[in-house]
Parts: sequence; C-alpha cells; structure tokens
Amino acid sequence: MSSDLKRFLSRLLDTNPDTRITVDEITRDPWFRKGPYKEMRFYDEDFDGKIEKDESMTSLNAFDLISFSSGLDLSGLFDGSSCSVAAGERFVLGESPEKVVGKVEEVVGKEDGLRLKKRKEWGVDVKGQNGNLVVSVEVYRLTDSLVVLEVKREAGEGGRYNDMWEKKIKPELLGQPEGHVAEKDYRIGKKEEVKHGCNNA
Amino acid sequence: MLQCLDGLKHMLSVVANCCEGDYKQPWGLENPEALARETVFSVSEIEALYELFKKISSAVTDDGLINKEEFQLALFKTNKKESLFADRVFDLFDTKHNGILDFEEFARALSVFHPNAPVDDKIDFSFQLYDLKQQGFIERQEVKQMVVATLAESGMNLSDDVIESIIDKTFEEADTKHDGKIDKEEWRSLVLRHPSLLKNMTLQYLKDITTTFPSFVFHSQVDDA
Repeated sequence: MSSDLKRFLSRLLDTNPDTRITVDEITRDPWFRKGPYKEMRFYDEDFDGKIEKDESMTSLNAFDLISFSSGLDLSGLFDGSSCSVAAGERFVLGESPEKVVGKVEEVVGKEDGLRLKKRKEWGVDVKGQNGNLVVSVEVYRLTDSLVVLEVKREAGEGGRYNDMWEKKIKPELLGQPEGHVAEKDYRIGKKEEVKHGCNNA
Repeated sequence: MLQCLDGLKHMLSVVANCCEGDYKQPWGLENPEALARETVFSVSEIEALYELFKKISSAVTDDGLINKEEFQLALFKTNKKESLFADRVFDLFDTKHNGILDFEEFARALSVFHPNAPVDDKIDFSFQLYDLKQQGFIERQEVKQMVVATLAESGMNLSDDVIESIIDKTFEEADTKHDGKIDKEEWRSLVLRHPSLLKNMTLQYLKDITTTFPSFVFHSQVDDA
C-alpha cells in the first residue's frame, strides 16, 4: 500500500467528522487524483447541467408551433381502419409549467380512484383505478411567460375524460385569478380538436 | 349468424371488386417489385399501400388517381378545409406537377415517412415543405406566414409581439450565418439539435400497413422479397 493511499484512507476513516475529509478535498487528494477517477464529476455538478438540458428541451420554437398544424399530420390518411388516441386539445396559457402541473395535481388529488403519474419534461398522466390512461397533459414552454398545454385522452375513456377534464381541471386552469394581465387575450387561448386517426363523426 | 352473413357479403364484394379492378390499369402496380426496390417498402407493403391508395382515390371520382379534393378528404375527413400545409404536402407529393397523384408518386412520397426511411430524406422533405417559395432557403417572412397560418387553423391566439419574439428566438438559434434566411445546412443542424421537429415526418402506421390493409389474401401474386 503506497503512503499516499495510507494517508488518503486515514483521512477517510477519521472518526472525527469535523476533521474528516470532505468531498471537495477528496477530489484534490493526491492519491485520488492519480487514479482513473480524475474525470469523475459529482452529482452536484451534473445536476445543474441536467436541469438546463430539460429546460431547453421543453422550449418551443417557431417550427415546433408549425408542426402542430393538422395539415402536416398525415396520420389522418390511415383513418377508418385503426382507431388510436382520440381527441385532444391545445391551449396557450400565461402560467409557468410548474403552476399548471401543480393545479392539475391539486384537482386530481381530490378525486377518488385516480392516480397521477409525473412524466419528465412537465407532463402528467392521469390514470384510473385499472391503470388505464384517462388523460395525459403535457406542458411546453413557449416564451418566458407563456406555455402551450397539450391535452390528450385515450379512446374509450370518454365518460371519465369529460368528468375529469371538462368539469374539473379545465375550469381550474382557465379561471385565472383577478390580478392577471387582461388586455392580452392570449391567456385564454383556444383549442384545436386534435384528431388522431379516429372516425368519431 | 348475422355477422357471418355480413362477412360473407363483404368478402364477395371484395372479390367482385377484384375482378372489376382488372378493367382499369392498376397504376404502378404492374410492377410492385420495381417500386419496392426504389422505396423502403417491401412488396407486400406496396400492395397494402395500394389498397389505401384505391380507397383514397375513389372517394370523389373513381379514376385511380388522387386529386387535391380527395387528398383533403382523406386528411381532414372534409373537403371544406383549406390548409396551407396540406397544399404544400400535396405539391411535394406531385412530382410530375400535373395536379394529381398517381400511385407511384403516392408510394414514393410516403416512403419518406416510413420509420425506416433515412433521416436525410426526412430532413430534405421537411425543408422543401417549409420553403414555401421554393427558393432553396426559408425566409423569415415564410416562417411568420406559417406560424400565423397554424395559429389561425387552431384558434390559438397570440399577439403579434409574441409571434415576432418567438421567430426572433428561432432565427437566433437557427440562422448561424446571420443572413436572415435558413438554408439547407442550417436547417439540418437545427433539426439534429431538435429531433422533435421531424416528428411529423414519421408515420408509425406505415410499419403496420400490411395488417391494416391486408391485400395479400386476394391480390398478391408475388413472393415477398
């Protein structure tokens, strides 16, 4: 055992927490730095980097908006023979993604038999007791003050969807508090019926 | 019992159609292997695609060709909906520039949307799609036009200031040469950084097309390559 290692070990195994080696000091210890761990980053540094990545991933640019157009969604060509996800809606809201997700959580929390599953990048899935997806909500950042909310429901869960979304979550999200900017109309953005290959005439 | 009769009726009508179909030239289906070679589709996928084509092309006039109206009908379930984007897509499909789509054009264009198609093809197609004036680059003006059209289609309301700032941000990131336009190269880097921009360029349905349009039971004369 080299003397460097001996010294390193004794610093690690110091029974006195005040004098024991700290994480920063570990990275600076001579023995440690000689080994393959030079490149290792600790979770603190990584953590910040990760958060930034997520933020930029959810930020929409002009082409993202354009790709929302139903004219560009050719899945309609395959309609009639297979019925996948049913209708959905999109809104523009003047809220932060955290607030939107928070509101959804709040409302769902009050209901029996429904569970919320958080997805990365500001999305939540609302599931029924049997684990079936009832509604899925995804929030994308548009500008500093605006987000786009995309709501999709699964085919066959029409009844539950109407209950949950139409009567409870939607009014909560769209009923803005009084103090909000009123002259800009966009906060109440409207919806687009997003049909995904289903013949619901 | 009733279901059985229905099934029988359906089967008989399909068989009858099969015979009738021989009067018209099956455009492009004379040589499915050739088309299969030139696209990412297999021969049975080409045959299944042909079933879809027949369905779409017979909606208004049964002439074995898809006109703009039938295309709109297939996409939106209504021929009343005008869409800047559907028009662009139709134009890009229509490589012969005669205002109608024959099966060959249909299959070749859809090949780009197959999950297995090369990403470069998807990048090219999407670039041409957004290059409204076909000048070889995407101008700021064209981007604004498309954003405004999308918002109008969906009833989403955004003020002009907000739209301008979104486009500013986009160009800042995309227009690395700072010439006010996005050329093919810049588009490519943008898309490689934001793969979600290509999500409309892949149709998962194409992978299952032989199960949704089983033509092989009645029509196939060739072995799958």
